[in-house]
Amino acid sequence: MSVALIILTYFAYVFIVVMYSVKLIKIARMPVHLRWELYPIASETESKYGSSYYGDVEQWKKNRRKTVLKGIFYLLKENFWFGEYFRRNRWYWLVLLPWHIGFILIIAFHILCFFGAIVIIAGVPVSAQSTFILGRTFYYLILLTGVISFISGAFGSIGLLIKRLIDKDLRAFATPQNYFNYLFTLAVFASGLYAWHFVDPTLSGYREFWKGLVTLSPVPIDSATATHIILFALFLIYLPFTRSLHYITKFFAYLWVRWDDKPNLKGSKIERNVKEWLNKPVSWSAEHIKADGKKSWVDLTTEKKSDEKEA
Amino acid sequence: MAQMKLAGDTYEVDENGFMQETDRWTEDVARAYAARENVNELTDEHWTAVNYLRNYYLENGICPMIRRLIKETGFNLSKLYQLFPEGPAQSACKWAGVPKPTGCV
Amino acid sequence: MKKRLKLTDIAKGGDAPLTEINLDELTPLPPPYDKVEEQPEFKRLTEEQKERLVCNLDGVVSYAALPKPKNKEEEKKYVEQFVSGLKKLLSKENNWTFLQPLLLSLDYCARCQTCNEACPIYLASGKNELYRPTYRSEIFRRLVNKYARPGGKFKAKLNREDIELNWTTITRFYELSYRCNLCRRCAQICPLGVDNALIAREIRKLFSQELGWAPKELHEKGTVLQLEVGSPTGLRPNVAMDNLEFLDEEFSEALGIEIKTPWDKKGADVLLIHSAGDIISFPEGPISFSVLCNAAGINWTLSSEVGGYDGVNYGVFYDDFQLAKVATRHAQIAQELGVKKIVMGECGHQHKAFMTVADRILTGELNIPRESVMTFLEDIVFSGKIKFDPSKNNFPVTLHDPCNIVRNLGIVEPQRRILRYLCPQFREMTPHGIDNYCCGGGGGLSVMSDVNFTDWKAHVAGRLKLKQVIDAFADHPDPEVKKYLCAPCLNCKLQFRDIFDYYKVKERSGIIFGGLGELAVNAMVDIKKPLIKWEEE
Repeated sequence: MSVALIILTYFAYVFIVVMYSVKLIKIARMPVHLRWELYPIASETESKYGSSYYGDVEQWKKNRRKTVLKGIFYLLKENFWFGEYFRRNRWYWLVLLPWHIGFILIIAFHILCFFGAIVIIAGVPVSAQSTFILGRTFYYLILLTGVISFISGAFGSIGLLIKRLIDKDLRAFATPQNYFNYLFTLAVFASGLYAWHFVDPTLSGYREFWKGLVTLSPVPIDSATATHIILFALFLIYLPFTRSLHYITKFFAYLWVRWDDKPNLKGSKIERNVKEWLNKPVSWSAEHIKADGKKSWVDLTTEKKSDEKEA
Repeated sequence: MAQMKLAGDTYEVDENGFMQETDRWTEDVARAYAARENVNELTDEHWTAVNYLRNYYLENGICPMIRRLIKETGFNLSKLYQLFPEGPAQSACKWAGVPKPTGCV
Repeated sequence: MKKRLKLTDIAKGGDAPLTEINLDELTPLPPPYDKVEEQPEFKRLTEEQKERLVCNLDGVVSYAALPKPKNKEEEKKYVEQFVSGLKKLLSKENNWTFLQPLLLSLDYCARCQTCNEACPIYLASGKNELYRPTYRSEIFRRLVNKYARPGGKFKAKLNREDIELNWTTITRFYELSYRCNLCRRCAQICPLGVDNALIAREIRKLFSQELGWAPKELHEKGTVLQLEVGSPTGLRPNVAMDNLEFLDEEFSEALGIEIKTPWDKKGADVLLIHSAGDIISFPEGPISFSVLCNAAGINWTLSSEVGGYDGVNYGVFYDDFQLAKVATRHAQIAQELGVKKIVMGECGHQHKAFMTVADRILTGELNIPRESVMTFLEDIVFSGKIKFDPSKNNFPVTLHDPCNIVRNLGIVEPQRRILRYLCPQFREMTPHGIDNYCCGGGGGLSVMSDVNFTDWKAHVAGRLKLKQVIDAFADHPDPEVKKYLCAPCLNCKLQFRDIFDYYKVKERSGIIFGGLGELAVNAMVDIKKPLIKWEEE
């Protein structure tokens, strides 16, 4: 049993990392696109009223003041607080935030378990009575993240389920998969909550399991904790088949589309990329385009007299 | 394409009733259009505006600016609305048998 | 209580409309426009039109030429074309221009419905299900997943996302893509960066680039006419020059100041590209810039090349190829004149199309610096070269923010600095700046007027804007108090013309509308008579 658990857990982690990476690389490697920015852009210096560099006379002669970090910080903060939902859709926020806090903390919990296991292997006992501060710190961190995650996530799962069922606007757009997702995550969080409350109040089972996982030596494990571990592993494997990646792709949607106001300067990388794609053949069928599957964008959109034909 | 019966003949028109075959226009067509808008007699003033519009269109491929119409005919805007119930663009152009002005105008 | 519209309903019911518009269901307007029975009627289609036209969405038709299939084979052909268009939208070669933004908007929506509350059309309609920004997007998403991705049909069944693709779906979907102003308020509010307006535009592209379906005002009499004759208005180069010469004379006399508009001046610093519609319908605008540029001693010119005197680029609303052709033409004209920069006229979509969207189409020497008329004008007004007397503008003024200049380009303050300086009674409307409401003519809709589409624009799309404008002048409701709505964009002005005409806003509230340049000229010490007038002389 515990051997199977170890294999399943390793497989789940490898699987999600590979699947996510493949998807992200696919998005990242898409061609350069036309500009379609939308204001306010957080990284613009005067973003408080949505201004862009186009508000300056002859802006192309000026150095552009821009810091990408400001935008990234904004997005990171959003991922932990969901302020946009708080402002615009508060009831939804009330259940959405706990659900996501459940995810964030359950991942933090597992990372802490991993490092806790390393600490234990290094000879530092992790428990409330540990003589080492490090040991006590890990003990409480693991306990707190785990328990808050279970409670928060279970609350969010039930809350979203109810919200989507009773709000007729949300229900009209819901699919069976939505409901399945809420029930599944509820099972994951609730199983953790059950194991903690009824079987293992100090979460020692996880610490032992992770120690075994790192040292590849299976340890006996109670069935409640094992159930949660199996459900969590299955959850990781399931995630790539959901829209869960929006947690990351959101950064792309903002940084690469909504906030992408990079001008196409002569000799820039953007210009080189654009030229490459302008020379790709087109096969749209409408008559006015005059595409034949061989002619490129440049051929089809530039008039003969232009000397830019070779562009 | 929609069709409309005017002065005993059938003409191709757009959905707002503007003639699509400008060269088939006759003075009777103008009268028929006017009658549809309850103007039963076309006065010299009507003809001044209609003829100016039509000739300008035939020469330039576009209806004249209102300002020009006012200057050339000597009728101010309220006069034009008196003559043409729906105004110079919607009525006068239609009666003159030219297509409806489009494209940011 | 009406039956709630379901996503799958789009494919059902054949030729019957999915919904209809009733004036008493729309969001109420402030007095004196609040009485439904006094509001202008909503034009319904005649029986003959219903028979002849495709009218199966909401009782409104924006494109009379939409074909009806003669038989089953023809219907199948259209369905196949649509599917092949879906696949091309997902291909790198055919849609590199928007592939990444499209996929990020398609695949990662959380269906949280937060965006609906941002949509002026949805709100104005009294929250009609059909006009939810997510209604259109979700159907498109499901069609893409089902018909353009491996295993799609099975997954669609499994997840009950199965939307049938037939003639009804396609034609309704075409019309529905033109019930969006592309104003992008919904995109701005989306916590995940999903852009429903982008999706609406991609749908329009599919129809235009694969099936050849696009509103005739945008395509046949739009970009095609512009590339051929010079302007979607049909204005030819010689007529454009002749008109401006006429206007120079007219306004020299009317204002008591010498006006001369320069043409085709090689080596000028600035090429100014107005919209031809402004020359024809709102000539005070272009004339104002002639006055201001000359007074400020700017070395500038207009161009009489085909396309060079009309800055509109409807391609930005529906077709990437037409967008690229028009933008390239504009750039080539500037290149041949050898100007240092191109200044956009008071036209929002021209700003967005030429300054940003086409930025990555213009390579090498064609990428000439392009500047907004807002900053250009700010520079002139504050240069100290022209004397202004703001008391000449001592009437209530409010500002309409064109979406394409503000939310889509981030130019917020220059126009406000001008107004605060030149208009003592300037006041903002609510909301404004990047949070503004679209005039209702955005996304190309303002030039579309087939069948009864204008009724829809005036009653639904422009409704919240009208409410905002009236509210902004709530302290002076009396029509005797003359008020000015500054709308520095031709498409917005055209939309305001329709709304004002429908609701008799000038007569009932004493409000007129016009551009920003007019206010600057009106405040000039050197002009003998005012440019802005409420009554005809």
